[in-house]
Amino acid sequence: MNRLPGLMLWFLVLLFVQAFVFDPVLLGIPYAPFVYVLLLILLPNEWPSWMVLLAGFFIGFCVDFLFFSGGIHTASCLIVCYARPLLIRATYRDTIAPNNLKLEQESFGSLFQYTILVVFAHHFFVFVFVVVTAQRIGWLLSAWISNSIITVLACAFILVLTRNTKS
Amino acid sequence: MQKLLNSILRNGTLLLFVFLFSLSLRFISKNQHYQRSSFLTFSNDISAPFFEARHKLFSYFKHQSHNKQLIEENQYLLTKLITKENKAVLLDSVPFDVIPAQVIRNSILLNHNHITLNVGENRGLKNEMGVITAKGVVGVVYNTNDKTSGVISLLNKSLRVNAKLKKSNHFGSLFWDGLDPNTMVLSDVPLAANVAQGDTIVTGGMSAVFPAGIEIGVVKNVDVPLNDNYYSLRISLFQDMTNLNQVYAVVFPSAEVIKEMINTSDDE
Repeated sequence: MNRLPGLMLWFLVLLFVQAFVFDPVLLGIPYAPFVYVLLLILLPNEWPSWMVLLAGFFIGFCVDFLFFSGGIHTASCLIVCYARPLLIRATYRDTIAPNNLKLEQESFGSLFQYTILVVFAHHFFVFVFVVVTAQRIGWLLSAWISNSIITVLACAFILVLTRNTKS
Repeated sequence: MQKLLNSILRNGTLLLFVFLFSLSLRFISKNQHYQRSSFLTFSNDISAPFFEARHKLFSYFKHQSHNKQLIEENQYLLTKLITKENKAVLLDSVPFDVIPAQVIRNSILLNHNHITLNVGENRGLKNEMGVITAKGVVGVVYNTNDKTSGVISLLNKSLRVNAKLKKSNHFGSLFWDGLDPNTMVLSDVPLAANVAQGDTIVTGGMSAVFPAGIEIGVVKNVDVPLNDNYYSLRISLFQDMTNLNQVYAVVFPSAEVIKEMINTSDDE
């Protein structure tokens, strides 16, 4: 719980950056990274699952509120939060007790691998909810993969930056 | 009872997930009907001041492109005016006025996109006013507060605009199919209309939202569905919806009278 103030700060900063800077129309580019996904990655692993779900719901709701996107981000965040134990187990296969992991203290390589999994899963569901109809499946795949790649790069960049300042 | 309680406690996370997920699906389905979405109105009212601040900050860096856009729009309007003067052609619509506004927020990625303007009731904007640029139709105002307003974008699958072929006055219904932000669909145009690629589409004027004769785009593709007596036309928009800055809300002097007449005829 002592990480809560730090998380709140991350929440405010990432939400601000997401809504006011990473807007595709503002930047004049087709896709902008959803850097707020970093919040889902940074949620403490020791939190009980119901708390992670509520946090995911809250984060997604705030983003939907700013993007006028109904519940698209809320639903995607919830799926990722629910699948979180699965994603952690997929990344840290060799760990005996994945529940005791402190993700931010793990190697950058495995954290990056976990980021890729979360981002691709989250973005897949975002664009599934955007499209709804099957006729845009080609667009769905290209939007999902392109946007996921730039979000992974942006998240990695932020992670590298913040790691350097700590050490 | 004990068993039921135990089962609920054991599957608590799953139940919480199902509950929150259904809630979010409800938000998604509600968002598809903008008229009913109090969420959108609330969201627009709360977030608009922040987006206005962002617009002020970023417009400083975009002055050059905005100036270019305004020059282009002025050129376009001047050309239209000269053409109109020379041909002595009058728009067959009620005289109207426009309220200038700037787009402070615009979305294009969703199926149901919205725009926020930096002008609200303080300048006379009201719900259901049409929003246009010098190059064409942009959307319809759905929510206003004192200083800002929310506009349902032309790139919103729930919006339908009455439109017609400029050369033959055949009417149809213009909507976005959610595919390309520069292309719309004009359906229900009768086969009697002799449509060709490059024909201009203008607003039909069959409502108190847009006056007749505002240019929308040109026919890009003509499609005649099998066993159907109507064309389905793909329309290439004149206005680039991904690059909006200066827009104008249309004021009908007799909007209330027209709406009342439409409502009365609908009731009958």
